[in-house]
Amino acid sequence: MKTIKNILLLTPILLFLSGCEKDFLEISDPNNIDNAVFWTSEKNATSAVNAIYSSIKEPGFLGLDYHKYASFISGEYDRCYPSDQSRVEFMTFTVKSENKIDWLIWKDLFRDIMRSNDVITHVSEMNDELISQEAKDQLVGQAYFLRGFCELYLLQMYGAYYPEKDTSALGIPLITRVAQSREEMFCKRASVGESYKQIIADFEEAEKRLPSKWDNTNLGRATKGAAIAYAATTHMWLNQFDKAIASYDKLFALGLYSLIDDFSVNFHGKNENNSESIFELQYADFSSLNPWVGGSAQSLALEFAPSQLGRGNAGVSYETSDYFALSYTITQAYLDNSDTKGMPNDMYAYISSLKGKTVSPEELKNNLISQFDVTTYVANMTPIYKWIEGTWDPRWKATAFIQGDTLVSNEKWTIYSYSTSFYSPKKFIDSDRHALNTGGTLGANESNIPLFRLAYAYLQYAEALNETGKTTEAVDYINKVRERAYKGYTGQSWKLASGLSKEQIKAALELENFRELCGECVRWKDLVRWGVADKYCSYRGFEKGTHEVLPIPKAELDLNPNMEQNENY
Amino acid sequence: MKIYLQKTFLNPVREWFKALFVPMVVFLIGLNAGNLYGFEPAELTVSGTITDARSGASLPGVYVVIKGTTVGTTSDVDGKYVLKVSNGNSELVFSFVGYQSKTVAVNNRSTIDVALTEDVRGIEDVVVVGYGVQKKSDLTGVISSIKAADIQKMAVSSVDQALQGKASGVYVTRKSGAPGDGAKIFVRGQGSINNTDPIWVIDGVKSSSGANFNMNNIESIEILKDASAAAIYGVEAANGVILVTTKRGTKGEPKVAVNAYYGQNSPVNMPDMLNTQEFAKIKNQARDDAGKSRIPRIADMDNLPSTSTDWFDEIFSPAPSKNIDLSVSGGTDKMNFYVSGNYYDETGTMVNTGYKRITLTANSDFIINKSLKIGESMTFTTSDNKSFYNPEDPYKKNNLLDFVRAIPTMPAYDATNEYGGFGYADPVVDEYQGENPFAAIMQNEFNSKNHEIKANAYLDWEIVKDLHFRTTVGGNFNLTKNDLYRAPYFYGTHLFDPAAEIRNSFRENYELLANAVLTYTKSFGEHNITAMAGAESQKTDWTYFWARGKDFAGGLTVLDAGKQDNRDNGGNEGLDRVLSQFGRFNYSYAGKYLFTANIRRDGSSKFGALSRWGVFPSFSAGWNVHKESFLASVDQISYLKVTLGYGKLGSDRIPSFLGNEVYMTSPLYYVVGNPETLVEGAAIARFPNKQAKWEEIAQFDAGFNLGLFDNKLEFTSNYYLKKTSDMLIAVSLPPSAGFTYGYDGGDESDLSSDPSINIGEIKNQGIEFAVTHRNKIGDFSYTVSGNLSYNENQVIQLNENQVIASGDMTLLGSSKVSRIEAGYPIAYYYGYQDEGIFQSQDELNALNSAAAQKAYDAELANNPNTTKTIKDFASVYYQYKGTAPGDYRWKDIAGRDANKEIVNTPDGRITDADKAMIGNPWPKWIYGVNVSMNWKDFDFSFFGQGVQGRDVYNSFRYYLENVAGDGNYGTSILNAWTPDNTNTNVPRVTLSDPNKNAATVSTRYIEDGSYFRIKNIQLGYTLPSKVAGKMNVSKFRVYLTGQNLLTFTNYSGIDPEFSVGEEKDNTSVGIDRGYYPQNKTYLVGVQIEF
Repeated sequence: MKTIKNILLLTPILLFLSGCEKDFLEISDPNNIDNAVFWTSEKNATSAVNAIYSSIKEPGFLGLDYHKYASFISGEYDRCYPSDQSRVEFMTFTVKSENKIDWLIWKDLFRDIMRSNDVITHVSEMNDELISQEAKDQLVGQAYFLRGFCELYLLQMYGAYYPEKDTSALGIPLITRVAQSREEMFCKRASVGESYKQIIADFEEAEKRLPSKWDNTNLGRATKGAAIAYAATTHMWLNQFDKAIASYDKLFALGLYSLIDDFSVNFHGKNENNSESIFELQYADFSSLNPWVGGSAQSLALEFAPSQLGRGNAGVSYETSDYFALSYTITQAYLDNSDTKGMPNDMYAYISSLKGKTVSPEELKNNLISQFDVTTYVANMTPIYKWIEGTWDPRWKATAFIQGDTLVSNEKWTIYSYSTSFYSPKKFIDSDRHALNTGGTLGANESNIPLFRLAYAYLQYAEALNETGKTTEAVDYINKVRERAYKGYTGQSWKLASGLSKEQIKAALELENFRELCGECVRWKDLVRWGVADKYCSYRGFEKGTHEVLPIPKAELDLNPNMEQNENY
Repeated sequence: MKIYLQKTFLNPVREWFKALFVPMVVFLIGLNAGNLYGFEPAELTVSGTITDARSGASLPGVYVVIKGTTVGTTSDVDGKYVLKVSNGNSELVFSFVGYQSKTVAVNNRSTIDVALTEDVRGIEDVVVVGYGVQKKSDLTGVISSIKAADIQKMAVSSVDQALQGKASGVYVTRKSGAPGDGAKIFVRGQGSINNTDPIWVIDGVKSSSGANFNMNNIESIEILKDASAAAIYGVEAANGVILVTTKRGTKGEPKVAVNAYYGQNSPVNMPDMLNTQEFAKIKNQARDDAGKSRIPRIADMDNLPSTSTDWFDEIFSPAPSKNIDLSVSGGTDKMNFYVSGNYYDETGTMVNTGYKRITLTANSDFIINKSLKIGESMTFTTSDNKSFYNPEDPYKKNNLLDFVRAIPTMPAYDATNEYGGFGYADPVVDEYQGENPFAAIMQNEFNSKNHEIKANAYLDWEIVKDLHFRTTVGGNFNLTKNDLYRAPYFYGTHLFDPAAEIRNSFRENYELLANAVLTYTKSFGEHNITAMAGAESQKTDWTYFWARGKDFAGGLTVLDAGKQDNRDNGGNEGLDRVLSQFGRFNYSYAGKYLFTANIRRDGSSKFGALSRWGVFPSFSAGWNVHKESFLASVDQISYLKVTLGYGKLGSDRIPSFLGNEVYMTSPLYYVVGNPETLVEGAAIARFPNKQAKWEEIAQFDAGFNLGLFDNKLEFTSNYYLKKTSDMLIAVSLPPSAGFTYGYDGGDESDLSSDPSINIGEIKNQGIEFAVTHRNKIGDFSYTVSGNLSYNENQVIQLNENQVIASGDMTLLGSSKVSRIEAGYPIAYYYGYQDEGIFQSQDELNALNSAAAQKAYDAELANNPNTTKTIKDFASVYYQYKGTAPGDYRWKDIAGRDANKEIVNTPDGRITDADKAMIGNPWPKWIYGVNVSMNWKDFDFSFFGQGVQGRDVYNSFRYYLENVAGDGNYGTSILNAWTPDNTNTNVPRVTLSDPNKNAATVSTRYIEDGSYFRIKNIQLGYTLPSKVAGKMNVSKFRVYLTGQNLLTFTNYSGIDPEFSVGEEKDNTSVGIDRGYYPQNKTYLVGVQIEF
């Protein structure tokens, strides 16, 4: 009986203590915002769009690593720390699927696509009371643009289309919504043709929704013009020249863009988002934000700037400097094998002996002038090259630091450490700032990185015109670019000769694109697109049919059973 | 959020009451109903006092049972007991941890006083089981019991290290030789790819930081190995449970015990690096061959710099360790106490490293009245670990890479360097950009301080006769403070910072556990039952915070003195909750037939609402065969028991919140506008896996215990089969899904982008043997014991037949060494098979042209109309374009067909298809040997331990022999291939390593990691009691110990016993990236009691 009494005593305690089991185990993450709460304000939706831009500007993609790929594989830059295996592989065409930069860029691009998809899905579903239709369009429009932008980069890197290929070749995986299960993540690669269609569709969706201009608060975001321009360059990539012309016409018709007077001001953080800029990555230095972990400053300068400013871990190659100087005229003519007529035999032999070697252009020029009859030879050359007369192209000074240039605090740049080159990258580097903090770990440079300038649009437009037989108009557009470059130049005419053939204009564009856009990650795309990479890069190991594209990163192949590797990797 | 947490603060207490009492009331009513209809046998009350036969002191807590039943009681603090015996002819069994059991016939006496002698035999022991104790002979689960005396001979900082080789089926390896670094424990193989650390339960309270306390406080350790034994600890018990019981006071005058030792640790087996002369020779040779200019500093072999630094000599030297234990214990009729203090101080053999710890413990019990007893245990531990790596970067933990890389031409000191006077390399003259590693250790202070309070209190209430209620409330409060101080430094023109930097972080971890258990014991004739039911709730909360400052005014080293505009901080927090209900039922008949059933229901906050709860049953049965009449005539067999068990357990070992669909805001900035404005971004934090559910581990066990010749020889063997299904593992998602992070995200916070997915099945099976022989011949007594275990693990199935690549080869590269794949052991090594070194260009040319021919043939077969000719395949090579004589040649074992599927036909080229299993990182056999002897006043013990059949991936050799690297190399590179030195396995020295000799995962790096190590030898001498008595002490013993004296192995690396799992899970085991090696130790100690 005592037992029963004891048990009865417990009953009220039991009743008192009956809590809620569910509450105890139901907890939410204190570090992050819950999905149910997140998509309820325009502010949050805007921050979701900001996150896409944020990761595009990261060091893992266009903030640095994409440059390590594009500028080194093209041969524009060379010389880096020898243990930077990834870059050495690009320079020597020995890229393996384990290449770290290959992986970083791949995963960053898909992360941006995922974030874009998330915005497109959720903002479209947001209640009208929470967000205006205009704001919705602007946000979704940016997401479409950025998705198309990333898809285009992917296609150019992994599913390149070039003269030997057709559109049924392997393109890129097309992912248009955030995966809901792991199985859904095992995506397949679509064909180049399908990829192209998807990219164009995204830019068209963006064009419909984006404003032509943003107010001052939002300056720097993607615009209608950017969507049109990227659609145009996508058409170029697939040799759809009529469509490219139509798109560029539409772009020019917006009446918003014009070339600025001073070429060099485009790159050094002095006149950002100017009238020439169609799409530009935005950087600023808000101190204490580490650019390596999502901060707002740029890391390219830290890595590439000459040693008093940064790590000096890159040099502009002699090959590049050749293209800006007299020696180019001669060596290029030789390389082209198009114009060796009239070249003295001993000069021919001398130049042949230099192939693939690094000789400074100054040295080469002096050797040529002192040993051979250069003047006569140049006088007899094909008209497009004739105007040069041994001068440097004026754009060279904006493209490279040259030994002895004055840097911040009036220090003179001297050759140092990894970069034993005379030349160091200059674009996107603000020479008035130390990128290198005193400790050498944190770099902060504010220069924006323009990704699409009107000059590029003009040159592509010219190319499309030339390809469709409108050679005169083509030359006009090349000359627009040259006119600005040679502003103030009082020597011989900077204009291209008239009456050039289609082939000659093509050759002129090969040079013009290079000089205008050197270091802007365009060169390699051009070489692949034109199918001429072997002409310039075979001495470094380029093999046709393999190295136009990068290998799909090993991590993707390991983790995605449906992924197919590119040929010969 | 905050309010919500406060609201739930009281819930644990409320929850366990609620969860407990509902089943309890039902249970009680049922039992009492039984009582009503039961019979009341004639009872006899027996009482008495139990004492220690040697000292005469009373023994509390002695387990007294009526033989053949589970009816019993325990002695109180005076050693007194009272027990009702139903039959005056029955026998009483007195048993106590560390003492020999004694069986006494009642013979209708009402007073029986018993003196117990200290144990020399094991089988009759009482063992601690989950929420109670049980006689070893009544056990049906599989438990390894380790006595304090067995482990306290080891001079190690943590208990986990001392468990090595002590129990069968328990695989222990020390993580590294760094001071304060613990060990990794695997109980019965690797049930998961995930973390498979066993859980620690200290005095009935689960503790996440189990091993870090004073070993001298330990009374006994039990390792619960099978499902039936571990089941009662439910969540996380699937990987084994280590139960620690600490010492408690006994009645009598306060007793003081002191144990102190002093030892000397010496580094052993350090790598041999090139000196300046050798370094110059190798570097110049490589550069000359490649047509590149020499490194200026060493270009002229006749005029080399006089500096030739041996960095290992600079950094390592012998160092002392000290330990002092002091304890006071005693008690009265109504209470007892045990108070102890410990100071442990180990100076690292690596300069500027060390570990210090102070532990204070106070345990006591109070008897309030006849039916009520309360007690508490409280331990405060504070430790200071000075390491040479950033403790928040565990990936680089204890790695020696930087010392290997440092070049010999860099001086260790340079008096002209105003920042510390350390030497440095010149990036131009030395073409070397690395730091002075010695300076880096001296100028980077990494102090990890840990303060911990573990406390628990219990209340034991005998509600009615045979029915006990016990509740325990325990807490674990842990504060880790990492102080990083980096002095101003100058390690060359590219590696300098004239401003000091501080980074401080705090992590506060707070665990609270409460449980209530009701136990009912009853006998009905030969039937004995024990029924137990209980409930438990656990909550864990943690907070993390860090701050960084730079450039301190006046050389101060506090954050406040740092520059205002150069400050940085961050932090995050987390929590999880577990709720459980459990029950156990034991039944035995005549002490012959034993049966145990457990059931548990667990709920974890880590899972979504749909899969939050799991129910896990287990059963086991035992048969004491020796009690059967047919064995009665076999005198040799004194004991034979057969057991059988099966059970299921659940595991929730995944990070919290992985199923929550959330957006993160941390660092996702962008800039827009004119003027430029910083805008914040927010994005999906990770892929939310809402489907995650309990990982299930089912285990079958069969075994027997055999005692021969009056238990002088004991033999135990068990077979187990452990199957894990729905294994939870953090799975890397395809990068194309967009959830993979790199540079950004995850650095400072605990964000993990990989979701945990229930992915597959794993099987472990093994056999365990343990044998003990004890004997006494005159003054000479000895015990020899050994254990041997075999385990094999196999991944049965992964989702989608997928393969997981894991295990980074080096800290720098991305080459993966290991694979997890169905049909293979977890994380087996996967790579190419070496076929020696190419000796001639002809050999290579033949292979290359055959490769081109095969590629052409394949093209013709696929596309008969092809316009390509054999010339189009000129760029097809057997290996790489730049492969040359002196490079490794790998075996062509497979190729790919037209559909790119792998086929086992060699295609004449080395491709991914030629990779295969090249090694198993898990040992097949583990074993331990213990010998202890006593002769008069001398005692001697020997302990050795080893593993057999384990492959090690020696990636430390990558550092030593990677000729493409910019640093120094090991002396093995002097044996590199040259046309004149062809009989070698070290490839040619080249600047660019076009064949990727160094970076390729191949059998080159696989070595046999088997070893046997003499872990501990101790020789002791105890003063005869007459002499000791004159000194007013009851015991005086001095001892000499040697640790890690000798290792037998063929392994060429530093130490075959480096951790099998440095990382938090089991996906990259066996890869030796070069760790702080274990030391050889000699020490002298003294034990005094008075």
